[in-house]
Amino acid sequence: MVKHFSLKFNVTTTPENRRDASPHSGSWSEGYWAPDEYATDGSVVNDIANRRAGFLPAQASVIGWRVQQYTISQNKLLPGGSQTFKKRFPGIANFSLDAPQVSLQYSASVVARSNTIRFTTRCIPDDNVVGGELSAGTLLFARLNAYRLALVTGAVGGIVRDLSQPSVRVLRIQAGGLVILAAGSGLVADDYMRLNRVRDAQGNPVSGAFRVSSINFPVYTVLGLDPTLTAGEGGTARKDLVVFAAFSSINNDRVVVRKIGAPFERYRGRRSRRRA
Amino acid sequence: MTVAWLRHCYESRWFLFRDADNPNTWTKGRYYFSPPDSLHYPGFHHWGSRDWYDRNWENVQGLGEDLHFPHRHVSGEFDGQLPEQRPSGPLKCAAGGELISEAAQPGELFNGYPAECYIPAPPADALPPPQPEPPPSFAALADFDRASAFFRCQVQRLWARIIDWLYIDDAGSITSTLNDFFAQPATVQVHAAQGNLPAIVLVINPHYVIAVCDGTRNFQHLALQAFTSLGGPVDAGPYSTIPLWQTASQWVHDKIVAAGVNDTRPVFFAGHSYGAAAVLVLAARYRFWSATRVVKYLTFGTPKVGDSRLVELLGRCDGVSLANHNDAVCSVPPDRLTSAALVLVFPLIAFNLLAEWQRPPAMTMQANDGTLTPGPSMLLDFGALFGMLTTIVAGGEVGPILGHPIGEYERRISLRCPDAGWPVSIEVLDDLEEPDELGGGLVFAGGPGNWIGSGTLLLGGGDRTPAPDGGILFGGGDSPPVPNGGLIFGG
Repeated sequence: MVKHFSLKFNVTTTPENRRDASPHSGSWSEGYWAPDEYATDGSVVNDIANRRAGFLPAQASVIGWRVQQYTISQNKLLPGGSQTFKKRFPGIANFSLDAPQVSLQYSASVVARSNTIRFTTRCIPDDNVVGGELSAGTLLFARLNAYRLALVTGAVGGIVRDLSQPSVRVLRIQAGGLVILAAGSGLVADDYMRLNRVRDAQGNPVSGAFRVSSINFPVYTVLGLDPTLTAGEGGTARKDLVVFAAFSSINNDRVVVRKIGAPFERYRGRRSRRRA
Repeated sequence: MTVAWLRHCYESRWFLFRDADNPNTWTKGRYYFSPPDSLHYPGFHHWGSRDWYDRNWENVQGLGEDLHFPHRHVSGEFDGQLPEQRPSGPLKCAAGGELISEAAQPGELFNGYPAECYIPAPPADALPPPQPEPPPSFAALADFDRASAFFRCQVQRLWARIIDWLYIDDAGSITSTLNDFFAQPATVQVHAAQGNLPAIVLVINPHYVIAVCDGTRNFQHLALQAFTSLGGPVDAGPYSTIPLWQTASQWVHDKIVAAGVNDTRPVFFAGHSYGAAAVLVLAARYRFWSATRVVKYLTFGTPKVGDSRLVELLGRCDGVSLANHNDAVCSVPPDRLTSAALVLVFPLIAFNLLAEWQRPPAMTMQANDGTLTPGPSMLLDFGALFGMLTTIVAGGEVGPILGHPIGEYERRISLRCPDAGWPVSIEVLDDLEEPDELGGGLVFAGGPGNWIGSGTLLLGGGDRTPAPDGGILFGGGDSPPVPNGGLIFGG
């Protein structure tokens, strides 16, 4: 079983001149996965939330999080119970806010696997974005490092496909969902077979995961495949599994734009329009 | 109780029984928006929204919301009285699913809930149960000590942030933050600004009271204070100040009394700008009324609030007034020195009237990098004051004063204590043993090479080895390191 932690954020803009604009509120969430033994309100998630708030502008806050339990079954997730927490980790006044949609995408490697996980953090202080790319000042640079370090040392990560399963060449596909493989793939009945870069006789891509109903090596009978579909040699098949993988290192990737949604905390009356 | 984070409310259906062999054993439900101070359900449950499921992977239906039932959006309003906030039944029932045989058989429904979810109200003619006097609570007073530790970075940041939220009427953030901060139950009240009177946050506990005020919200308000200050402080009995600040202090006092505080329990004030002036006047009044009451304060960007009598009263309180070094508001109204030049330009301004204004005691300057130095602010640049007054007299609008916004105060506090965490978790009782890292340093006339250690107090300057936590240095020169808790006189 694994847990998905989803941090909830809120931002309220502060117009420089309130004759021209009024404040607006919005919310978004950022998530990561952790092993089931992680406490729902423990030191790891609190530390991550604190460090995440460390490079939020003062107008934004971490307002809580949601924890969702999942059981991983082959290539599927079985949602379990969930729990929510209301917290408050405000951003700091050292950073200015312009457009909260400005986000930073990261590229993370995972422990002992070749997968790469990409994720984003929104509301990047955009005086640190120059020419469309990140140009982190000293403080933001330190805060980003601290946040990435907290994710790595916290041993949190993501859900990835198990690429360590052997990838076997597909010799052909016959009508009736019969897939003929070049070698043993480790698949047994009731496993899921993922087809990659396979094209049918008309050249259309055939992709997805299909349940193996029976095996008479090298013929694998799968369910869910169009029974009239045929294909020649090409592409690969692999046992389809998803697994939890902890981050091993995280690098800044590039600046992107991600939407900010409606606020989780409801609008509470008109904001004051002006102040000296 | 709150069970989900949602942007919109909707109706759907949930599978809640773990032994259900009939796929039609579902329970219809509807989300509504819970009040901001609602508790979150203290355990795992299956009433959450499927909207948060990870759609990057295929999800398989188990207990919880039906993955395929279409949502019907509703307003989220709850008509009628909300049920009590309390879990019903053991947490494991919600976490693992309930048995059909254990399902509650709803009888009479009230607002859509079984009537048992509501605690029956006592009969109107019933006598209230006897309530013993609450014993003095050390825990509550520890809360007060934490909240009123005005010399701590984290506490300064906390109240600066609360005031900033107060400016934008963000009562939800204020309430939730303060509810998290105080370990013992305390009532948080947020009173909106009214006319020229500031917005107020009150924290009420049987053993203490805390009042926080925001400041000037518009130019007309600022101009009113500027003009009235030109006439000099007005005698209010035991001290002199501007009538507007006196009125504002009465407004705060009235709110405190209305909250049931009519005794001499410890009180802590925080405020910014005009709100700082209001709470300082009230602090002086409380000191005048009671010589023994614990009266503490923390102000940001306060102007000169009154005459020497008011300053003397404030000197017998406990607090600090932070003033950013380029915050012109902290230097107005002009005092004897700065007004000397001004009367040449504005002959109508009575020199003696202006001379009565005095700075509050314990004013501490905060440099652009957050460094603190004690003492009065630098003399206000005559050109800046002249320009500002000219603009006001000409009926123009004074732009934002650099260094004065509460956000600028918070920014510098954060620079001074970059590693101060959130939420505030310091224990003041442990100060001497474990001062928080890089927090609370105070430099008196420090020279080059000095830096602030945790809780370090440096008097005098010179190049010296940084003092470890808790060291106290008097004098300058090249000094050896001071051991923890050490006290050195001379260099």
